[in-house]
Parts: sequence; structure tokens; C-alpha cells
Amino acid sequence: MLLLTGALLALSISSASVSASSAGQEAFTAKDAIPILKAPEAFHEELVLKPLNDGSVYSHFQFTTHIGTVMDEEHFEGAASNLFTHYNLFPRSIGQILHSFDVEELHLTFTQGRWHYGDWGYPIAPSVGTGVELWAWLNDENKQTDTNWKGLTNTLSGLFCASLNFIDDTITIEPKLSFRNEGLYNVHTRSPAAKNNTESRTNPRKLRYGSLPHENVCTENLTPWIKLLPCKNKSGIASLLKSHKLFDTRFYSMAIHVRPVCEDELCSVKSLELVQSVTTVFDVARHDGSYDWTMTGLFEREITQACPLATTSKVVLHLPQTTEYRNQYQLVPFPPQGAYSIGSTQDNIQEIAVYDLKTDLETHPASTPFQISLRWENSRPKSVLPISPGIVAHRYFTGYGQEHGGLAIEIHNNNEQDVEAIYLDTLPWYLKLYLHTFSIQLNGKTIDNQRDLVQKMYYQPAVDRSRPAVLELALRLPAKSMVKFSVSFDKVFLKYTEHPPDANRGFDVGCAVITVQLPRERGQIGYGGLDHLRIYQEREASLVQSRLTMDEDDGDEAQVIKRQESEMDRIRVYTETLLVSLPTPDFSMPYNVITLTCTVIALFFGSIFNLMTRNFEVVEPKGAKDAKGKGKSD
Amino acid sequence: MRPGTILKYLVASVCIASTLAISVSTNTDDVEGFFAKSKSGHTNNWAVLVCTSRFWFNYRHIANALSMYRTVKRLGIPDSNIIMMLADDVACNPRNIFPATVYNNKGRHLDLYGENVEVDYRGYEVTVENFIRLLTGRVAKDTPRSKRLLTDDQSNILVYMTGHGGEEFLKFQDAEEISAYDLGDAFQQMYEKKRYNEILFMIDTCQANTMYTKIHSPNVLATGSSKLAESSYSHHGDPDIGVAVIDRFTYYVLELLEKVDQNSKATIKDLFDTYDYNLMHSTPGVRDDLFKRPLDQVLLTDFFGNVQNVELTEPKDQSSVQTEDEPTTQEETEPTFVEPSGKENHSATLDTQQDDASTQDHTFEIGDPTQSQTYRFAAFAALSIAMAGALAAGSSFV
Repeated sequence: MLLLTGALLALSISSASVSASSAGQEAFTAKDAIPILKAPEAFHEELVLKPLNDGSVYSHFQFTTHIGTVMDEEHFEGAASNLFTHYNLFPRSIGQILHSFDVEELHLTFTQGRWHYGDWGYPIAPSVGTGVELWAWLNDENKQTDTNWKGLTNTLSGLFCASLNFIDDTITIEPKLSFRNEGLYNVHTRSPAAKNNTESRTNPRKLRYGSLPHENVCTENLTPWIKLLPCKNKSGIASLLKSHKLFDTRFYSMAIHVRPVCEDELCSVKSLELVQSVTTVFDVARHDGSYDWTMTGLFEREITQACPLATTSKVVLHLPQTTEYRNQYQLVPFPPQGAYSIGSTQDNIQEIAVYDLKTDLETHPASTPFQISLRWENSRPKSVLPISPGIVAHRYFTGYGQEHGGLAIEIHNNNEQDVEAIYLDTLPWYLKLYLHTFSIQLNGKTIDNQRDLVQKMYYQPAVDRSRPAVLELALRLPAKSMVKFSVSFDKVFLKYTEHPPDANRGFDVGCAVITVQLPRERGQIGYGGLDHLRIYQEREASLVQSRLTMDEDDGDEAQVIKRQESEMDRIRVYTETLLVSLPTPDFSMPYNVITLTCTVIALFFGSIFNLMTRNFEVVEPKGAKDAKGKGKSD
Repeated sequence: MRPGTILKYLVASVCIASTLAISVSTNTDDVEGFFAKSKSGHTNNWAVLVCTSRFWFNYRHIANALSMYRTVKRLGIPDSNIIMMLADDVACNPRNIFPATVYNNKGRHLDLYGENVEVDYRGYEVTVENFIRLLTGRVAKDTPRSKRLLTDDQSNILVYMTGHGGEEFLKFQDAEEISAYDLGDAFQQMYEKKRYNEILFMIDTCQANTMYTKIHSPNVLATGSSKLAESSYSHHGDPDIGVAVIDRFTYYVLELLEKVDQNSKATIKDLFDTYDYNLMHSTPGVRDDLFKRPLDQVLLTDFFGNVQNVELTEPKDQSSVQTEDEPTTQEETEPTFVEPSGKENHSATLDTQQDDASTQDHTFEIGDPTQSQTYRFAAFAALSIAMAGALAAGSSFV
């Protein structure tokens, strides 16, 4: 009986979404067309493709699974409670992890390669730091956060075949300003009655963040990731996921993000959202210099049907942004609904082509397998629009030798206005930071009054072998500026056994993260036409809005600021990881010492001991025979 | 539920139970014959495959371990029963011109990495400490299942190691080494903790045969690639990959294993008979003095495959039956069934006991051949009644 209603619900939703999408542009932009999800579980699969300026092709797979629950304000007990009694689409292994470690929000990203902001703009994926990044908001009601975090890292390490268990106390930090929770928690404080009890009602949550910059990412990590999908890689968009092609790219990143979200404007229906994403940058032009590509060429696989369990199944193609020469390229097939634009201002108008696999593949069997090809006149675009990301940052080491060093961070603000940013840097304990050497340069000139730039500073000094150093700054970056920080450090002598097997390679230092609020229209990929990202972003904005109307006592000024914030996109910019070489001992030294000592003992001590303990006597020639005889008998 | 229906179901279940019991009492030998209890007495198979070498030029060692992985997986051991330790990631190494692949032949017909591979310990996690902890089960509390060797006294374990070694040692990542004594002690501890039924220890490294000289635990069969003062050599290189892709010993072992399938009757002796100095350029060794069975009766699939044997015992059913029939006797019988005497010792040394005990064994306990026929009849009848009753109750609710 339950199953039947579930199926009916799913059916009605899919038909609703189909009608919404077939209505084309009007439906896409109209706010009231947003489907309100009330199904117990739902699954969406989406793929965004974007040809980049340097001839690479950016692909972003996004699989969103919702597990829903109706929760009113009185019974809000956090995301992970009471949800996991039955599983259809939501992966059980993730559900159990969330449940047993009291996790409210979980973000895990595996990345290989470096994201080139200058060439590629901003990615859709929120995290692109090289290596593995794990952060989670844990329920701290039982004061078990540290135990739970340890359990969580170990369990995820087992699940994803990665060395996540290396994220221990010496790496874990608790950022104070960055990595705020992304779920919609605050909505249950809407009614005045609930608002008064906020303190008692809100679960105490704690943030834990850790990253492993040197972690490899390969097939063994992708295998368990694919197993979390309802259709695995048997059908739907996920059937394109072939490890041999995905790892033969300039950039590869895969992630899972779990957060609670609201399913309707009033947030009476809450659900837990699991977003799985794979982001790659294919180097199309590597072999013959041609910018032409086909989907089969990129993935060596085909989509024959949409995942039958998916509510929506879409491929979104960002059409290339060219300047004067229109129609330099040929796109086959062109979507039946035609292309339309997203973005509000002239700066960031982006034409996209949306292919709905549910309708396309089912109504036109001739179009199977699904195929896209994009060909340029003369294999290359004549000119492209340059990308200018609003904020770009670089971090590097200064100094030389194995004793001291320095760290320099350059942040470029290309915006026309001042930008608020939060800088987070974690340095391992074996780099001893000297905060008094911290200095700031603005456009190449040292400034004395740091207050203008650094509005808040949070610094946690490292403790040897137990915690890293954390530097977190709230910055106000002037318009069109380059701000440079530098700080000096000492390198610590590690113990003989603390070095990794490949000690001479050096030690990796993870990315610094800049969290920044950028106006939505700045040369970024942004939500990239992903319906679900957009829906939740707008819903979030409207929730903030509705909260603002209630907070009348806040005053006009605060309202204006908050209103502005709601029109901004919060993104994170990652710097490069760094490699630092510490003084490495001569690992064969103990062996040398032993052999040398033994030689000395054997040669000198032995002979001298011999000399000193022997009794030398002059033997009479007569008695010599007797002595000889005795010696033989001994 | 009306009393009438209950009565009806009860009568039906008694009838079913009695017919079943009669058939069981007459056909026990057939049942046991059907399940074909293995000669080794094992009911589950595990594999621990270790590559201890880091760095790209040791590609062949990772290929060795992955070749074994592929073989045991092909012969039926699931990923959950395979513990893979790879000290480096050559598949996604930037030097690998065929990303996400590992080949063990320059023909490159078969990608060992494939689309479905699980590596349990990798990179810096491959240490002597972790290896010995894995074998002896003394792992940290939070260790996930995939990183534990959840074996019992009916597990046959294949332990395959490859890397660079010397006389009575094997290097781990050029940073530390495991000695033959460490290995011998680890196996002895496993024996004392009843963590295995039989072990096949196979090692491909220089002077490999010296590594098994210090093992002194029963039921361990060992083989190595080369004797004291002899090196083990690589088989051939791939000019495109740029390094040697497999070692000789493993290459020729695989040559035979490739012909083996799950139903194969090939024995360990057949494998050892293929050892040839002219092919391997080293003298492979075999140590069978600790092993009780004759080698020509030990199937290769006893170690490389996963043959699910079913053992018929009934200690736990017995106690549950008695609780139903005569609740008063439960107190008397319980202590004798709950804890075998060796068990306390076991749990004291193992801090992860709770996982090990219940979940891992594939033993399907139906009946014990040592029990008398009449007793078994009673037990089975009662069990069937209980089951039928549950079925009836369940169906009536629906």
C-alpha cells in the first residue's frame, strides 16, 4: 500500500517536472514552477558540460538524492535522527555513518590536479583543493564530538579505500569563521515562540575540518563512490563514468556532500540531501590541437537510457562564449527546446542547451544512444571571451635552506568594489610560525595600519605532535587590488621515526581556503544551470528574506546588508598545495655508527686489551720445548 | 487472530515438522555428502596480498600483488575477504601513460586495475606494524571492517607478499623491514588465537625462502621464489610503460593459476611441480613439514578460491530448543554452551572481539553428526514447530 502511494507520488512529480521543463524558458525562469518535492525519496542526475577557453572541456556530474521527512518546529531533532528506518534510493552505508556518528553535515572531496582559476573560472563544485578534504558538522549534544570524528574518519577511510584515518588530532582543526554550515537549520526559529527558545532548542554543533594534500585519488576511490548511486553505473548519466578516461584528465575531483534542506518555502518538510559529484577537465586539444569534441570521444561510453529511478535526468551544455563571430561552431544535436540564457547581467549572460534525457530518449528512440558533438570551423574558435575571476589567490614559500622559511600569500581582487573575504590557513606543527613577522603589503607597498584590511584575526598556535597552527583572517580587500601577506617560520627537526618512507620528497602542506561573497554576475560557472542547485539557492535566499521581514527590530541598515548578502554567492577559492623540505637525517647513519664503532672496538680496543692483559715473559730456550708441548695438548 | 486459526496452523506445522524430521533422520548422510565437507575442514577463505614496495620503478611488485588479487577474485573470494596492501599508487601515477591501469604483460591484454578494485591499505599505511596488527587482529577500536582480517579457526588464508628483501627480512617501503622471526611469531599468535585453519604463505622476493624458516606454527604451507643468496628476477619489461611489469616467480605461478577455475581439481603439488629453475632463474622453495595433509590432496582452490563448505553442527540450536520445551533446564545448560573455555582467552587478547564472533563465519549450523538420531529428531521437530508457528503468526498479521 505504502509502495503504491510512493510510486504514484513519484509519477506525479516526474510528470510535473517534465511539463515544467518542456514549457521551456518561461517555466525555467518563473519561480512558481519550482517543483515542490514531497516524495519520501527522490533522485536527480545531471551533467554539465562546458568548453573552456583553452580548449579543455569541463564536465560536472551531479547526482542528488533526497530522503525526506516531515518535521515541524516542535520536533526538529537534527538531520540525522529518525530518518534512517528505510532505504530506497539513499545509500544505506552513508545513512548509517551519519546516524552512528551524529553527523549533521558531511563534505568529503577527493581531488587530483590543480584547478586553474585564471583559465577556467570558478567550478560548480564547491571544493577543489588538491588531495582529500573532509569537513563535517557534528552534533555535540553528548559531548562525543572527538570520538565521533575519529570514528567518522576511520569509517570513511574504510568505505572509500582512502587513508582518511590519517586525519587525526595533529591535522584536525575547528575553523571559527570559514566552513559555516550549508544546510537550512535556522528556519525553525521563524515563529516568535520558537525564537525565544532558540538557545535550548538548537542542537550544539561542532565543526571539524581536515585535509590530506598528498592523498592519491584513483579507481579504488571511485568504485565505492559509484556503488552509492541508485543505478550504479549501469544506466543513466553515471554510465559515462569510466575510470580510464576520468583519470586521464587535467583535473579530477569527486565529492559527496550531505546536508539538511527544506523542501518547501515554509520549511515544513525537511529532507536530507546527498549530492555526489564528479568534476573533470578533459584535455581535448592534447593530441591534435583540435578543439572539436564528441561525448563518446570524451568518455568512451554512451548513455542509452536515463536512470529509471531518477526523477530528472538532464544534460546541460554551456555554449561557448565567443565575441564577434557568431555561429563559429556546430552543435549536434541542437536541443529541441532551443538554447536559452541564464544570468542576469550583460557580464555573465550564458547560453545553455538543456537536453532532458527522460523525454528525449524515451520519446525519440532514434536519438539513442545519446550523443553530443561540438565542432568548430577550422577546429578552433577565432576568439573567446576572456575569463576574469573576481578573486584569485596564490600561496608560495619564500626563503632558502632547511632551517628557516617564509610563507607568502597573494590575493588579487579583480572586482570593482571592496570584497569581504575570510582566509583560512592550516600549517602543520613542524612549521613554527612567528606571528610577529606577519606583514601586509597592499599593491606592493607595506602598510602599517593593518586594521583597515584585517578586520578579525584568529590564530591558534601549534602544539608539537598534537595540533596544527591555524591562521584565520577576516579581510576587507580593496577594489582592484593585490594584497600580500607574509610570515616567517622555523623548520623543526623531526625525530628519526617521524619521517615518512619517502622523506626526501618533502612534506605536503594543504591548501589555504578563501571564503568570499561575490556578486552573482562575475565570470563564474556558478550553479551552471543545475536546476536543483538553483532551486535550493533561491529557496535559501527567500528564507533569509522572510526572516528579514520578521526581524524588524534589526534596523534598516542591517536589513540592507543582509539583503545584499542574499544576492551574493558564497564561494571558496583554494590556493595551491605546497611542498616543504625539512632537514632529513641520514637514515643509514645508525648503521654507519654501529659498523664504525664495531671496527674501532675490534681493531684498537681488542689489540690494546690483548696487549695489556698479556703477560710477556722471556722464555728460556730450555723450557721452550716444554711450552710447545703444553700448547699442543691444550 | 482467532484461536481456531492458531490451532489450524499448529496442526499443520506439526505435520510439516514431523515429515521434515523423518526425512532428515533418514538422509543425514546424503545431506553431508551433498555439502561435500572439504578435506581441509575450512569453511571460508581469506587472502592477504601485500606489496611492500613504493616508487614507480617497483611497478612490477604492484603488478604481482594485483595479479594475485585478480586471480583470487576470479576464483570467488569477495573483496570483503581480500585485504590488499599496496605501498604506492602506480595506476594513477603521473608517470603512467595508461592512467588508471596496471598491466602485468607487455601485450597489455588485461588491465589488472579494472573498474572494480578495492585497496584496503595504501601508501603510508603499509607498515610492518599495520601488517602484524592485521594478521594478529590487534587493531585499533575504530578500524573499519575492510581493514580487519576477520578470520576464525575455519579460515584458509592465502598470505602473498612481494617486495625487496634479503636474508630473513623483507623491506617495507625502503624504510623498515619485517624479519622472518616477526612473521613466525605473528603466525604463532594467529594459531594460538585460533585465527586460521590453514595458511598458504607465498613470497616473491630475493632470498625469499629464508623468510619462512622461522615459522613454527602448524598447518602452514610456505613457498618462496628463491633460496638463500639468490636473487629473484623480473620477467620482462614494457617499453611503453618503461619498467619491468612482473616478476618471474609470480609470472609462472600465474601461468598455472590462469588455467584453474572454481571447479578445478588441480592441487598444490601440481603448482609446485611446475617450478623450474630454467624459467624462474632462481630456486623456488617449498616448506611442508608443518602442513599435515599430503600436497597432492590439497586443491589450489582451497587457498586461491572461495569454496563455501557447510559444516553441520548444532550446539546453539540445542540450547534454544531446550528453552522452549523445558524452560527450567535452561539455567543448567546455558553455561556449557555459551562460552567454550578457550573463548575467554580469545576475547581478552582481542579488543575487537564483538565484530569477529558473530558476523564472519559461513558455518551453517543444522546438525551435529556426533549427536544421536533421536535427539536430533526432537530438536528438529521443535525447531520446525517454532518456525512454522512464526510463519503462521506472520501470515495472519498480513
